[in-house]
Amino acid sequence: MPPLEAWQKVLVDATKYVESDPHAKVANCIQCHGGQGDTEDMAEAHDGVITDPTSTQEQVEKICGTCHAEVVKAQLTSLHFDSHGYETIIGARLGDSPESHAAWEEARVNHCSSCHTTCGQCHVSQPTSVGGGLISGHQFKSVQAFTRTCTGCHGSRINAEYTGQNEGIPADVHWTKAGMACFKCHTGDALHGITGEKTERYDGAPMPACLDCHPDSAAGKGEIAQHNVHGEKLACQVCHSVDNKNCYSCHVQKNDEGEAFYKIEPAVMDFKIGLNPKKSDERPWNYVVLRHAPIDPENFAFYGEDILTNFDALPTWKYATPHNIQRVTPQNETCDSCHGNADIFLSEADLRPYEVEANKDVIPAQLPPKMGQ
Amino acid sequence: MSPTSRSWVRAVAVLGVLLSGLLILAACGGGAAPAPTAVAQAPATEAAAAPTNTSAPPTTAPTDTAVPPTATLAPTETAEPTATATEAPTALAIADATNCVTCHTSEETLQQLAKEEAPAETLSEGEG
Repeated sequence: MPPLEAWQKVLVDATKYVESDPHAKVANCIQCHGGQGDTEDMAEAHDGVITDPTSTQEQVEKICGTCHAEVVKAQLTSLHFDSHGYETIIGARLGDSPESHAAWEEARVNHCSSCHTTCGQCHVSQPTSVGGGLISGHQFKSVQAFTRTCTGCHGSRINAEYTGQNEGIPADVHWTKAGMACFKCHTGDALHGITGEKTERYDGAPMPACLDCHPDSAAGKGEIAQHNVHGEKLACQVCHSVDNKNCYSCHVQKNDEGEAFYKIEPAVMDFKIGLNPKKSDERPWNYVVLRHAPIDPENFAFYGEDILTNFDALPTWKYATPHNIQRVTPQNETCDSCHGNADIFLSEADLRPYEVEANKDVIPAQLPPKMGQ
Repeated sequence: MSPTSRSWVRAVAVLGVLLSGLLILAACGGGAAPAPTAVAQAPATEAAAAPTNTSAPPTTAPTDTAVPPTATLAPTETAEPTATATEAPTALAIADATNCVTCHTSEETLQQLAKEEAPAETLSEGEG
């Protein structure tokens, strides 16, 4: 995300926005942002100003919903708008204790709520979490550059993997060969939640699905022997993604001045295959790529003891779809790169003592036998 | 006298009797009699039927509903305050934003005036 000077963040382009953007025709600055128009004093003019007028449900409905009712209705229930995926995943680990839920709620407000995305933080400005700043002089765009929007929040893992910023690991073939922006696969309907409500990122059918664009890769649909042999036993990423970033904790706390901050231990690049923790008709694969989530039992210790009383409810090695797809990978060069290769599969040896129980269902009991190839 | 003549005489006689009767009734105010009778019966029915609640409502209902339409004239007048109420927000919503545009489209002005807020989470460590 390119750093912006303070003045650049608030510079409105007279040509692109004031004179030609349709939004400037239906509302003026004060109608959306508040503030005072009948003064030339800077402080007075900014009295009551709302930097992002689309940050609450009421404002979104009032400001955007008048013309974009369908999108707004869906957006308000989307993962992007309120980050309720955190509630789903962390909530599962909390257990039933009211104290745990209260502590988590306090931590969520202090540390996680700032990650939600508003209409403005995708269509007008950079996300607040990276300092904000108008992108195209306040011009509204249905699709802004993903390097100014998506990667502001999905930068350290997804963007780094997708664009090849991890040392020694190539960028995703969709980027290197086709230069595909996020929106090529992640449609507006999906991003706005129009395709249906989700409890978390991997709820429901894969969206996008690799087979949407590569139907010949389905078992029995093409001539590639490995696709036909493995059928629906393997998720595509098992053969076509490579080392990805794994985080092990995110300890959140506040200092004496009430400033919220976090401490994350250094990430580890690794590649592990495990059993599918989200197996369903829509995600039928036996094996998937797993990535370690930034969680340990002490993540919220600042807010109370034993908050994650149900820590083992979900694996800490979670279902993953790394954005570093390659046609040829170390594991698909030969059969025995996987068959009989214990190193590539998640095992108890990879676990820390506190997470053995949580991951028992994603560690394969038996490895696929060696093929001698 | 032929049978036909006899029928004519009989018909004229009957008509004469009927006309006479009507004249007598009219002279006694008989034309208004049915209405008062009906009105008089209504309260009686209402009172008698009250415990059973069967015939009374139909009798009273029209009488009651006859009043409200007259009363609705007043609420209709309340449309005026509503109209004036919507005028106020509209007037506020179109506050002049010329000053906003003048400053925020001027690179030079913003370079002089815009200041970065203190960065948040400066104590954080690791990739967020």
